Amino acid sequence: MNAKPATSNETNWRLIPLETNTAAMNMALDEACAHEVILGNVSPTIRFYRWKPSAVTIGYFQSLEQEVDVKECAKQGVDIVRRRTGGGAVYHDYAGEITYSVIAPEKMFANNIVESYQQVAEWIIAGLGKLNVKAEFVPINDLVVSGKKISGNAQTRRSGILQMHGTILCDVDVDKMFSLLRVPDEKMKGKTITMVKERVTSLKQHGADDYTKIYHALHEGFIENKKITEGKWTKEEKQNAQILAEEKYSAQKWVGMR
Amino acid sequence: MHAEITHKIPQGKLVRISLDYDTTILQNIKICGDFFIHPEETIEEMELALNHLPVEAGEVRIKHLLDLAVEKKHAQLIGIDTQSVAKLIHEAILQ
Repeated sequence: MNAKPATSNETNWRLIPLETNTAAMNMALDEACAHEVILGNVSPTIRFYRWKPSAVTIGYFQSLEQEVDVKECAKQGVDIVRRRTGGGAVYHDYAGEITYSVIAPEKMFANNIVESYQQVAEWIIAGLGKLNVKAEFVPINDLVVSGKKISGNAQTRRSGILQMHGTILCDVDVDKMFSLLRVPDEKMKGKTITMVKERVTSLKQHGADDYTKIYHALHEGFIENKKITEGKWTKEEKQNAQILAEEKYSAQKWVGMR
Repeated sequence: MHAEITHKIPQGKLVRISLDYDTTILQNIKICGDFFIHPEETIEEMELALNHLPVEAGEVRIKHLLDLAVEKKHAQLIGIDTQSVAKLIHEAILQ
């Protein structure tokens, strides 16, 4: 193991710049990276990514059938993957959001899980601030702008590693989202959609509609006060991720596990 | 018989219980939702702990079994608690 760093700004971080992958590959890369961080083969890592095809992710504890209209996803060419983190179902539109992951020794963050959500949330807040969007952290795991949700986050801790990922909404199509996701009471679907429209916002609604600019702002927010070097996946990570994508994250056994 | 119940825990997350039961025992208990449990596999331990439980088991006993599973895994629950799950399971059978 590498020396255990005390805080996130004393660490040498690796940054994997914005890339586009399938849903299975995105989740596989998080896990493959966590494995290499555990072994001390790579530095703690921050990555940005998007999803092609657009995808629905569900939380570890969610029931696939309860949360997702599987047939409709197939019809619309939308991938489905189960995350290894808890939390809720998310529609990751290719053009409508940016996802990040932070993979680092948990000792670098607060032992209290909700506090550690806030620590990473501060980086997102810093990034959104550069777009003149004032976001706030709302426990347990959300970020809001003027009281409306703009970002959802989830983490797992395994073998001393914190792996946290989250989505930042750039442009949101709630109707499309709910053509893919189910609601707890299907008879109340219309009402639920109206409620979600009132409670969810996007950067576009706050004057930021240039994807590249949004990415650069988030990138700035995340790297501030850190020793960070832009890097690439190692051969081991790529190979391991390829296997995980095929054997685990694409498999019905995992996706439909609950 | 099959029963399902969904409940949003105040200040917490949405919990969705589904289970099968006959005149004597509970089976196939699933505790789903958008909550967090660390480590995640604790959920299987919790579900297993309730399998084949007598159908007349009360909330206190259900909670106790869930607590044992949580302790065994040294787990941390966020947005969900064993009391609420026990209450929901009990309600699911009664409804």
